[in-house]
Amino acid sequence: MQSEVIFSGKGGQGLGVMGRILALAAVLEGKEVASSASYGGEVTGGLSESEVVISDEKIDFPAVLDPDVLILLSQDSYKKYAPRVGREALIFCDPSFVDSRHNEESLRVLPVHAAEKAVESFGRGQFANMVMLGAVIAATNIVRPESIIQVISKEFEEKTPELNEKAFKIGLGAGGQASCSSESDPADGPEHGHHPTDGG
Amino acid sequence: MPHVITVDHSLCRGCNLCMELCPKSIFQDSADIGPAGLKVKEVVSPDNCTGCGLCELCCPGAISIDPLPHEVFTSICAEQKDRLVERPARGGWKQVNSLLTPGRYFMTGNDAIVEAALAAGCRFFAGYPITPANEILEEMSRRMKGLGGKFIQAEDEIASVFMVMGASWAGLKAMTATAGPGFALMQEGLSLADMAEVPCVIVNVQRAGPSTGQATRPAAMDMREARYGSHGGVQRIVLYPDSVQETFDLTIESFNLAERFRVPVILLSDGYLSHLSEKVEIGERLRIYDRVYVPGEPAFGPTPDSSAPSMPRFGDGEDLQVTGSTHDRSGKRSTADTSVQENLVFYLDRKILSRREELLDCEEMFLDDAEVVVVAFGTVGRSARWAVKEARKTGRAVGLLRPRVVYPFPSQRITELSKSGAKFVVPEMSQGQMSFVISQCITNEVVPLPQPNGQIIDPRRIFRYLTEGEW
Amino acid sequence: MNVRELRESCLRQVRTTFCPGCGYEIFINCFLKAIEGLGRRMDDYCFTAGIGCSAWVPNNYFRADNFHTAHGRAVPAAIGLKLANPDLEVITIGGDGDLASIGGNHLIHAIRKRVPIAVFCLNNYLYGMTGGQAGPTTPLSSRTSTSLDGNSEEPFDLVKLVLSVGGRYASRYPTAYPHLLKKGIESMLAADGFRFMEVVSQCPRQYGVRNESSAASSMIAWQKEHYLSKEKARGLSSSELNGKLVFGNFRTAGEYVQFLTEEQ
Repeated sequence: MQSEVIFSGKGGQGLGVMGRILALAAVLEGKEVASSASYGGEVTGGLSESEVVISDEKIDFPAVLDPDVLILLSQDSYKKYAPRVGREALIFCDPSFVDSRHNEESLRVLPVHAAEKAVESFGRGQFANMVMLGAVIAATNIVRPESIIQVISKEFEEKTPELNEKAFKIGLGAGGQASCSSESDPADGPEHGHHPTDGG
Repeated sequence: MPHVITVDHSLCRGCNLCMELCPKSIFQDSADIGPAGLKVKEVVSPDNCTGCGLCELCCPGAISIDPLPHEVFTSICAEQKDRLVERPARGGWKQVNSLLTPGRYFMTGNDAIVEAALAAGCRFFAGYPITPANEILEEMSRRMKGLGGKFIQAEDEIASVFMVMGASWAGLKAMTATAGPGFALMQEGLSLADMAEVPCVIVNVQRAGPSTGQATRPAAMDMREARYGSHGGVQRIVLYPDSVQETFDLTIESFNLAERFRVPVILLSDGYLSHLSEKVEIGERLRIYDRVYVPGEPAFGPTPDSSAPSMPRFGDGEDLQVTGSTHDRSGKRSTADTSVQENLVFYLDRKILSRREELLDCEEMFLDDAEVVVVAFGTVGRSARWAVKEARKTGRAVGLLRPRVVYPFPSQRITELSKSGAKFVVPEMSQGQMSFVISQCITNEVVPLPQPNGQIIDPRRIFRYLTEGEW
Repeated sequence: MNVRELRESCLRQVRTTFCPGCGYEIFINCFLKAIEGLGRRMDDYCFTAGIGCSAWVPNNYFRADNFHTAHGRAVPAAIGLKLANPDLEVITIGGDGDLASIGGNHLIHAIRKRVPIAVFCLNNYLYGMTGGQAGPTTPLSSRTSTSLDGNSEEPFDLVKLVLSVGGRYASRYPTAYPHLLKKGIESMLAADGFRFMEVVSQCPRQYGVRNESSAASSMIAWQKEHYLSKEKARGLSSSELNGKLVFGNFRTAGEYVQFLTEEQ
């Protein structure tokens, strides 16, 4: 059993943190894990990506070849990956940043209003990444939610672990709903792209 | 009291400075011509001498004013020699506790280098910011202090490597980390490290070049520079891991080899491996080698068995002469002697080559019946392993050879493998550097699979080559 | 001990290979006298050197630990030694081309880093060992093997350079005044922090012959005519200072600048 996950979006959306939390949770569960990040020219604003490969066996090639799960948080990321995958892959995107309406037939897209929910709950877009991660875990079971919570409490020990955990749980709750919902209207959501959404 | 003043004609160069500076004009030309072809000086009116000493201060040792009685002078000299107090020999293999709590960690390649270097006893780091090696510099700046080590950010990579060598002679295990452009700047220093037998570890996190190229992108484009980049071109030890665990292990190995062979060891990484996070298992105990010092032994080669010579540190009282010039076993410059030069260069090569069997370290997979041998180095090994396994599933007789120690180059192993008539296939994150080296060893077909595009190689591309012959 | 005895006990050999009249002999003798004056011994110190005639001073002759590095790299090697073992008293001896041209960047950064080492720059105005090429301190209009019609580049004033980047100990002594040079070395070795001394030294073989004074004695006479100690220079008017070069020990740029005339 091998899961290959891609997080892609803009710098500052906390993609690296999502990747790291997921990877650490898988390590905690005793799985083999390889994770890598890449950045565009700038630390903030450029294309930012994080990949996680999780396997029950030793991982020969550590980068993603056929992504099973994609978390796409910018239109550029969506444009880059949507044509490369089929219905066997699961795409999570935030309608605040991504218009995914044209490809619904050929793709499995789960819109998660992570940024909106983060603003609702915390008054700002920060923690949207943890909301999204919650939704991903709820829908995919790549790792157990408890593993993620355990990692959050350790990784954010000095930086509001409880808020990150809360955001993750909001996402967990939304995950089920998200998987049934297919509507997404980017016009509804505010443009959050320039807000720092680093998980802590 | 009149002064006793003499001129040793064998040392007088006839420069006239004593005549120029003496306020009492007590010197004049003698009739003798000295070794420098000029008239040597003599004292004409010693009674006028005030003993001011200007003449002796400007003289290359010929003038002597009021010498001490012989016995007094001899006893002063004897006293000075007492400096060589009893010093115990030191160094060799030892077991140490791991710095990190034993267990399973999840870290990047760059972090693994830092952790392993510190565990191996590295206590000096000098470096200059360069992508993709920055995290090593930054983490070292945080970690060294707590361990009583020294960190310094140098003004450039040239300074980094010379600071590292200075620290090494002060007795510390020392390292620096850089990438292509910085590695090029270090070549001058590395050549001195070869010649003066200075143990140190140089990490080169390779990125796509030439020049600035793609600073954030991985490549393996310094593979030959690591071995052949320095003037003088003597043998080098170069290692290249393919995973974060192996990065940790080979970093420790780099220090052990540097200390054992008294050479600069080059540890290669790349822009992918440096930022890849993987699991690292850290054990309880580590086997570490410290440079050997035997008091009174010559500090430089050639040693009779071509092993590394004893290495004192500055302050041991050995009156060390360390030089990049051709030197004898004591370190004394000997730049006119052709045999000293030739023996020294052959020795520097032999020091490594005579132990190449021991230095051989390759991952081998499916080689027994392989008709096609994929040779891969470092990160490319990950792509190659995937591709070779998949190709085996389709019944292809392919195997993998991945040298962890790139240099000394495992030419003997490759020659052995060539006897079956196998074809050698060499995927590289470059325009094809090592395929050339392999083709120098054997007459079999060697196929370069070059990919100098700043990306790790998609293993399906290698698989396609192995099954369909397309690149 | 007299100089001859000091050379016998502190040098690896009394006889050196410097040219007749070389100012580096004066530096060696003054250095030996200075450490004797301080009650110290040669092997209390360790040395780093670059490449050039200056490097031979410690590497070939000083009976002490020394590291003969590559051209210009003596300062970073000294920093490595000093940081790695703060108990070592580290001295760098280099030339003007060595420390101010190829190693110029290392020099100014060492000052900024405030590493407590003592740096002696034996300035003979050109590259002596390689045949007398123009260097960073070659005076304007001087003839060298690469400036046969006279040097057209501005020379560095090394004391000004060191002080202007924040150095707090910069001294200059010409070899024409050996007693003052010896005292200068004594004070420098006894002081703390980063210390720099420019030893203005005659090179009759390469510089003198091309500039109408092939005799060391006339070069020394020239130094005496042109170099003024700061004590003597103090209170002189700008016109009186014109054409003169001031030597001594300077702690701040402000202290030094008062001795510079407009042309300098």
